[in-house]
Amino acid sequence: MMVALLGVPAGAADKLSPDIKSSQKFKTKRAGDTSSLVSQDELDAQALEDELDGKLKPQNITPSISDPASGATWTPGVSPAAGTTGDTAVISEDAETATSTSPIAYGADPALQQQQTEDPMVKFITDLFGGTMGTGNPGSNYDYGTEATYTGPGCIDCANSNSGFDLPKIDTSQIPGWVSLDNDSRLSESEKCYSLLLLNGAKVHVAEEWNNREKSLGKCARGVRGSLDEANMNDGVGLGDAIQFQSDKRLEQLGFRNVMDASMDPNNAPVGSVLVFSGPRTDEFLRNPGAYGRDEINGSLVGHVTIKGDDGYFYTDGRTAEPAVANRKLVGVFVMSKCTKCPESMKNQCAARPTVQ
Amino acid sequence: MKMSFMSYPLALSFLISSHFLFSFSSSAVAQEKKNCASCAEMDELRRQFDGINYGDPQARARAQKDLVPKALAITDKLIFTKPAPAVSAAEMRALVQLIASETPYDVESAGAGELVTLIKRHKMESVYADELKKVAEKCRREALAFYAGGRLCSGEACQKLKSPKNFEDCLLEAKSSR
Repeated sequence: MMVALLGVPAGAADKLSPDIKSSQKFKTKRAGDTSSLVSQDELDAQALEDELDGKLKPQNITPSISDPASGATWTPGVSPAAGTTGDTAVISEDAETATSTSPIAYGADPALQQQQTEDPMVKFITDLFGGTMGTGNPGSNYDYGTEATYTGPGCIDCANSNSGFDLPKIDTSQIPGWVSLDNDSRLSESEKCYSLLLLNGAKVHVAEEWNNREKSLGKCARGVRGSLDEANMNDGVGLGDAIQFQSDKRLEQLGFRNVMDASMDPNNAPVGSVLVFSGPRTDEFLRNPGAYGRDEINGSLVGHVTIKGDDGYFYTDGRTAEPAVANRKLVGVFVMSKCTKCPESMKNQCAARPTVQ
Repeated sequence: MKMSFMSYPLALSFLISSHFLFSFSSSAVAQEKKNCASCAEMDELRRQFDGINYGDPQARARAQKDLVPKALAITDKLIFTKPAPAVSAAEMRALVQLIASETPYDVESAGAGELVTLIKRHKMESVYADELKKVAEKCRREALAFYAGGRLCSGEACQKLKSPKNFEDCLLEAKSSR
């Protein structure tokens, strides 16, 4: 993708490392223009301006489903075309011309198409988004309403491509206790809907801001907060250090509920849930958080926070194969239940669904 | 090139002085290590990390489960013991080597983070930079440079940091280029 940086000579952007392109300073401009990088300040100013003008429009983007067996990606409402290469479905400006770049061309195999239609996860997404991917215009099945400030879940080719680290696929069927989102009876349909939206926000955020690097780099709270922002479940407000997501009830204030029980571990925790871990010195930290200098605060004190992916990875300030280092203890598993900061249109999409009995 | 008669004494004196310099520096390092109570423990743990076959998922999982917490216990002790213990240059050097070996197994790069806390607290940036160059294995050196450097840098220096490859790919590439 051609990118142009403000104040950077043409072509210079291509010489920058992916980390610089995805740093906090530069962020791909979303609404209307995905071809330029602008400073975060300008982006914020533009967002405010748009909000004041009532210009905010939903994006032509929708969550996608990966098929672990084939490695292909499917996007609801998009009829992939045959004969292309790659591994993601690309949504063009005009949904009619959307094409799949999957090596498995679903459109070419009626049996596979049939199987795809019967997939409960596909059905769930189809129900959620009305079966077709609209353009975001009023009347479209993908219309989030004119009042909405819905900007997530974000671009799927960002979320599904490895912009940085090329990590191997994980076979989730080999993970003990793994429960896919569509088969998870612990969650209501509404919670599944929110979990999926959070997960897609996380995939976009971690790819863009943290370059899908294979390790966390001490910014897990910022990484997860960014994913919540991306999914429109938080409005940019800081949530504190990792353990404070739980100890200060920051997640509960956003509408999450803690589904943690004695049998829960990172392997069997619900997909799309936020996992909070304590460290070996967390009790000391919580007794007196002010006793430590900023430089001293580390995972031993404040633990770790991450989002459980549907691909076997965990999304924090990186995309990690392990949830946390071994001396952390899982203390909270949070599922979005009644989103307090989501736009009305998003609440209508998810909250109207039946709750778990 | 034929050496002139006058060059022999020069060459001889160079050889003698370099021999003494080398002896002095190695004895200084030995002396430093002698004064470092925890160096033996760190060296032993580093050897255990280095002995693991990263390509073997079970061995890797054992390192993540058993060895990483041991390395973090060492750095935690140096950070949180009150009053804060002094850290000698030899200790810092051993620590840099240990964390370079630990980082591939540390999903939060927590060891690198704690190393940086100690570097900053004891103002040992130059010792770290010097020892980092001595990390023999390229992939470990690059990983530590990124995960510790990402916490040590500020402003433009951070933007110059180059993401290392996925560690497994790096090892495979290093192996094939040998």
